[in-house]
Amino acid sequence: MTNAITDIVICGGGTAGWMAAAALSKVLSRDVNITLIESDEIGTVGVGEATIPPILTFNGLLGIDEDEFLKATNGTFKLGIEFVNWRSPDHRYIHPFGTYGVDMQAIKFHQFYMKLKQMGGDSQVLGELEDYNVCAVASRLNRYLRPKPGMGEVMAGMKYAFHFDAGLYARFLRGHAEGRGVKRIEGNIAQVNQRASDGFVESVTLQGGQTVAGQLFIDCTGFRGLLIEETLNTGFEDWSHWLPNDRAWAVQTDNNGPLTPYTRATAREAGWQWRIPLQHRTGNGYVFSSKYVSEEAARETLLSTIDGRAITEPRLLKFKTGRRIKAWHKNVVALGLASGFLEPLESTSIHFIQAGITKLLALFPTQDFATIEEDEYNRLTRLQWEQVRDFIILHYKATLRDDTPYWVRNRDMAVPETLTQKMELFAAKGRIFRREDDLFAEDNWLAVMYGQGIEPKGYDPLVDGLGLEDIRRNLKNIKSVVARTVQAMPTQEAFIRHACASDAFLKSAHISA
Amino acid sequence: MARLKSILICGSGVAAWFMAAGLSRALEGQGCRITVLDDGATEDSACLGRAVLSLPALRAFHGVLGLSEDQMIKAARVWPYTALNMGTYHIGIGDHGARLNTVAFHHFVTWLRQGGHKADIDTFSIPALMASAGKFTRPVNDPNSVLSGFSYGLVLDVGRYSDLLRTYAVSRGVDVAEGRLTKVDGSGAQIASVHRDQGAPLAADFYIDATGEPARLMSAVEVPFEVDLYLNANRILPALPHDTGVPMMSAGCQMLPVMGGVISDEAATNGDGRAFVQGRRAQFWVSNVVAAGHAAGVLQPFMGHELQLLHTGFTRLIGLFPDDGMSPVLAREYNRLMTQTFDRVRDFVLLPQVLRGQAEGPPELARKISQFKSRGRVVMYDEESYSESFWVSVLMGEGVLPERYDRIIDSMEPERLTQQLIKMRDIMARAVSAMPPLKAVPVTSGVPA
Repeated sequence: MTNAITDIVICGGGTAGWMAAAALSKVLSRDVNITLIESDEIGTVGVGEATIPPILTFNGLLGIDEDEFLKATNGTFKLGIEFVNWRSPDHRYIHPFGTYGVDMQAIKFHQFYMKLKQMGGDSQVLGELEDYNVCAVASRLNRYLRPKPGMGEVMAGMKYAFHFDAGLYARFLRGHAEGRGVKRIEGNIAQVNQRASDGFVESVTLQGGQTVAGQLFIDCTGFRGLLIEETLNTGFEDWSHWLPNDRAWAVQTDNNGPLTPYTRATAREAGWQWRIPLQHRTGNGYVFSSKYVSEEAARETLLSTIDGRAITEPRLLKFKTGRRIKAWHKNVVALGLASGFLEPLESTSIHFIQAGITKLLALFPTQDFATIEEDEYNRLTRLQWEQVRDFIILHYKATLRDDTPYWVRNRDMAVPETLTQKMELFAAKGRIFRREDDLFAEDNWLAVMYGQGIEPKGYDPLVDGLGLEDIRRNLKNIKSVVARTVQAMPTQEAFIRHACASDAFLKSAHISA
Repeated sequence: MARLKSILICGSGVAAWFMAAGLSRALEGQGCRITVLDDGATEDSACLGRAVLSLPALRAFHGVLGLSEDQMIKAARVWPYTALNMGTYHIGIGDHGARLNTVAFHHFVTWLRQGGHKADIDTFSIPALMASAGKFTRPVNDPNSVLSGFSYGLVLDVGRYSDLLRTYAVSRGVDVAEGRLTKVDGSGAQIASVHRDQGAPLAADFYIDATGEPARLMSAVEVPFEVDLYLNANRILPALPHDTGVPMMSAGCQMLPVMGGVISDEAATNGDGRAFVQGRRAQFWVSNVVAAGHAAGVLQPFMGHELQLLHTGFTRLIGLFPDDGMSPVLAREYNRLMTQTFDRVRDFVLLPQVLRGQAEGPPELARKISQFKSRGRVVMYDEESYSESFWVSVLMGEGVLPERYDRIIDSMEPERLTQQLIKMRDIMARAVSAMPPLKAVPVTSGVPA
């Protein structure tokens, strides 16, 4: 193809940089030179150590062997997120991956559950909605089994993702990328050089004086956005009026207790705390709003609530929630934190990187950089960010908490109209309509809306077309099959030991044989 | 809040009986009384021509009703079609070629053409080849077979299809009210009752407006009709005589021999046909009334959108089925979904006209065209009724060749790839030539679900 891009420069390593390098070198022709510039001095942020199921697609594209990858990154399995104290203090629910029950007569499963629940009767027999989701039940019992075709309907509804050490993931991908010819340059970028005629980035100059030229630049320089913002002044859309958290303390602890196959997000007085278990340690952090709690008090809260022993000094991160108005501008595409920030409450950070890469490949430019590609990339990116933003806001808006000014503020805030409509539809009869490119499907919205305490007042009238006895029998059957399926699974620890244990896992002391 | 106890459908023809048949099945066992009151219309309430095309998705509706294709073929003067003949190309129902290395097939056609090969995308479409050769067979389930990637729709006689649905609905207990609709009592924003030329006025918990273009119920609650800004044909021409065969749209005057055609005032020579206006209601559900068929919107005949829109509307209504509380949230969501559905269908109907320079298009369609021109990307919005392959057929058929193809192709070995594509085309051609002619379609046979 004439006019094809021949030189790509990725500025910044870290998760975003190496994910981009690995994917581009895999998909693009061998004639394209890819250079990645990173500095060993600049630490990577690494908050996004929990992922969501589409990561399997990305790893699949790269041809990565799952067990090899988990071993190399101290990775564990993730079946969902446990939300503690979100609806009200001491309440907990799981937002699991995968589906609830089995739909009947084209009616969503949860409608049948709602009917029986609203009728009253034996709540012991009916159980919780979670009892009908294999990922939720397995989470409660710390079980895991990799689903494979032919394992039956319940296992077919099981989905999973991973927790891993993002630094090790970047290193792992670096191996793949370098193996396919990606050139790595160690150094700090001192200057970005623009073409006089149109402001396109022509090259970057390193502190040592070396100049690296290219036609397409990928900005993976983190929050600052060295190219996309500091050079091209693309602009930032601030969302902190909806999501006021602006700081996070992060600390690692040693593992203590069974290895949970889920992320935990615990609501605190002015934010929430994550807990992400890896094979060899646990990542923890407190995401908070500095308007509602001081940095010092937040640090204390974190250190006094972690399960294990802290093995690192707490590190403070500062951020502002919002998105870069154009993630692609001229010949620069921003990935990762350079493209914006949404708190990792639903583990979307790594997914945004992946989705950005996928879109870039689908709209891959030529040297003339038609605005038509840039526009479409930015339109799709905006849609996705807004949809995820709404989903995150839901967690704060739908709450019964009013015990601190922070939670009162969240409960009372005005939210986007699109979200209000979704919440009202669910509150009336438990209905959920998914937007086509929404990352989160009906069952995800169900888990969080219901988990946060939106109790539908009614149910789909069509449910009444099925006999009550049939519904009862079906639900009882599904619940017992789910329970038996999970009982037959090994613990996550046993599964990892068998399939993908890292050296650190085998050495770690807390595991009893 | 209680379940709806009664639904009154006003109108006749396909829209009225489609809804009556569907509701009688979906509300089975719920004690909801469904009544149809004829409005005495002379035009059908959903279809402009004498025949209408169905798309494969409608089979799901017939499946839920328990109507077998065999029954329909016998009762409704039906025959299958696999593609719409557009004169110089076909819009086939099904994939083009096969994906190689995850790259959509039309990129290979672009690649071949840029390399100087003559590559007609129709020759890589089994349904298009079948239509142009007058062949037919049913698709097979084996994904490895070249005969698995297509589907087919039905050409339905409008009057007979309506009768078939009516017979079904009545056999399931739908009442037919005596008399003709004379007046609608719409007090403010909701329907209170419907008057007729004999007997007492009828009242119900919920109403369906299937009265066709006059939209008598929607008008009573003052929902405006919005004229489509882009579709400019405004006269309907009668159907030409037809026989079983491939539905065809002639390039010049937007004419479909089996379905009738449309034309714009300027092009009409001697006041042919009758006037009609294309567009849709500003809302499709207000308070206690939902519009179906032409009462919801009117588009010129093309490739099965009439029944597709009825089906989508019905499915959405069931998904949002109200109780007597009539929460406005439900209507709001229904209107959001159906507005998008309608507008995306409108875009598809408009596409050939825009590409021929006969009409302007809305920004969404302009984006679709420019993205395809630039790199063969098919932009798909929320609530699309036509899948990618339909858009690709029209875009390429009307002569849009993308400037670029998917980069992944450059990593493939060109000589081998060319051979592979030629082989693919030969296999398809041979498979089609071995098929029986369309006329020989067995009326009774196993029809895939």
